[in-house]
Amino acid sequence: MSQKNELTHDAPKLTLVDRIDIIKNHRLFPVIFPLSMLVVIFLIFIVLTGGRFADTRVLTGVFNQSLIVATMATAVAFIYSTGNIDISVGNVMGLAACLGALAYQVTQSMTVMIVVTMAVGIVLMMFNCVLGLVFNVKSAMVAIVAMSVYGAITSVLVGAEPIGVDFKACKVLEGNFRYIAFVLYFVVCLLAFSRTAIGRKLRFIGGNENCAEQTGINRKKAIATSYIFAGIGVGLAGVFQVLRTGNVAQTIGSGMGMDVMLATVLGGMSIFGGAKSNTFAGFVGAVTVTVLNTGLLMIGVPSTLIQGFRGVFFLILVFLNSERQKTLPSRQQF
Amino acid sequence: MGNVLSKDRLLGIVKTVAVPAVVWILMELICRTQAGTSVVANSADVRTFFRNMVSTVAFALAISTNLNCGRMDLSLGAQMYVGTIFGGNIALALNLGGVGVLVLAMLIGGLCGLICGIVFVNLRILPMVLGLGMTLLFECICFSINNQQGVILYGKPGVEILSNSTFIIFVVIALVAVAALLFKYSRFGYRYRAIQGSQKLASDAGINIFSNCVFCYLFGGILVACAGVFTTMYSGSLAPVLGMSSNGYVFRNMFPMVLGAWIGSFSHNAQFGVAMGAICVNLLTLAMSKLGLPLNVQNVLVYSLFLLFIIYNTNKRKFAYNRAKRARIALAKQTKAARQPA
Repeated sequence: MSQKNELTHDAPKLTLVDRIDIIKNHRLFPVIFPLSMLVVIFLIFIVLTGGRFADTRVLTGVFNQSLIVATMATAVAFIYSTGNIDISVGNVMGLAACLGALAYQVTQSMTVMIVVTMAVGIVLMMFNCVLGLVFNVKSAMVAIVAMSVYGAITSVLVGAEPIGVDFKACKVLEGNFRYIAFVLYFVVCLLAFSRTAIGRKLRFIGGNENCAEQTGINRKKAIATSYIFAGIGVGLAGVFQVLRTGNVAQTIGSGMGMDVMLATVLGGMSIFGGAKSNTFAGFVGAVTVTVLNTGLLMIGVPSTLIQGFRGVFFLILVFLNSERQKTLPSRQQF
Repeated sequence: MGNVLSKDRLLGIVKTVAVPAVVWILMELICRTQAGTSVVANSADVRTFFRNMVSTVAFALAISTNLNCGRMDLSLGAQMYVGTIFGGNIALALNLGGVGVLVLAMLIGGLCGLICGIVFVNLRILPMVLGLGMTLLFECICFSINNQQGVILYGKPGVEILSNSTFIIFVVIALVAVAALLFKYSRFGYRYRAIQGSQKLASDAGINIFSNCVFCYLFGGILVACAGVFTTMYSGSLAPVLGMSSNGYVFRNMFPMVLGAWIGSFSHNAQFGVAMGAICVNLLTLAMSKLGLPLNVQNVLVYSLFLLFIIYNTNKRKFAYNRAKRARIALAKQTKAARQPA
């Protein structure tokens, strides 16, 4: 007993930094930390707005506003988990929605619109995937090119006047259909990512590509699967976008890729992928961004300053959520 | 030996210059046959070409400064806005003229880069992620000052020099020369290349990787502000943006940067290559404007070419290997046929 006491006495004491590092390295930390931050922000806004923030209408508004970004962020989590980056999802969604709306104008059928939008989303994401897998082009570079090309094609197709879709039909589908579709997609993604071999393979590839391949994982097949999942989500977001606005404008989806990336990182996902990846980071991040925007507006912060607050908050949260390296983080993306 | 080296060097320089020359000849032929006009037909074309070129060269150099070390700085576009809007307005208020606008913008751009660099080495979060956060901040700062008016250079006295072709050429040469001196022939450049090779080894060898990184960010900020001044001069004004729209400038200048890196590999001078890459891309866009193509179609064509170029650049070793393999098989077949008795 006394020998044990001596041993523990001689052992180096853990400093506060060491203790923080131990907590940060816990496998559940990337999940719990963003979620608890969201709860804290939410509670702060409830207090600051005298309870108005907890109003059902405000909460429904927050959910509706974050739905499109949340769907896409959930989708790209599959791609990010492998260490690949795709910031073209906004423009993919835009082009998919545009072609879906055009299909509606020809057929006057909402079903056709939904099918076309989803199909185009999958095809375009697969095109990005093929460029990466067959021609070995880095995913970030593919995304930059795809963003511009898809954005330009959407502008040419839409023209000066937005493409309209029957607003009444959109309103009918907007409510329950959106919620059910999102929840279904979210649950499928969650299960596929955390409870099946698909997610395990993707995380393994993100952690160490060579090691994953040497254990018999087909890298190309796994990455293609991640793009298919992402394509479904992006197509679904396109459908939500059309249902929400009832038309497709020239600028649809532009800049949304960045919002998705912001939400994903804010939700606790590393853009380098790996073992700590998860699919609900995007949803948490998207809701956090919307909660911040709405809350700050409600407490009277000028709308021009909100983005700045969001930036500061984003940097602080990401810093707290990431591991501080001894050297500088870098990666050859190109 | 010395002769061989100088011959190689000369050949490299010739190849580097030949790429934009080939692009120009091609574009000239297409324009003459399709539109009945030259790519650069009048003095307005010359001015447009030079103004676009200086912006592209400065921006592409700024991107390459950090990207070559594996840091993708997405906040460069926002730094450009802050530098140009703050610097431009202060210089106009003090009646400092065009050169004053340029110098002040570059100073404030450099300050933004410095802030970004210091934040990066202290927080050590991923460069792309840091870029997003800093973009949000810088855009907000731009939007909140001067009643969201940005900066207007159109019709302001003393800024005409920024449209002067001779001045623009001088600026381009100065930028490329300073960048080449810094990254190729200075102690900073030596350390930069060591870090490019391996950050860990460089650090172990006693190189201060943090100060080197901060300086890269600082230099990037100076360059983008310079690009911003000439972009503003071309369009007359620069209005602030929100929602990370400023990132568009970073993506737009990736093609000249990547193309420039390839061209620069011939003469082992990336900075000179970036200038040549900028000339190529600007000749291409100018030619497409002459052909009367709408902006969206131009974008599709330019980015499709970019994609084809990346595919080639990524797979060139594979292509060379396949070519060599085909040649080897052909030679083997030939030898076999020759050895077979008639």
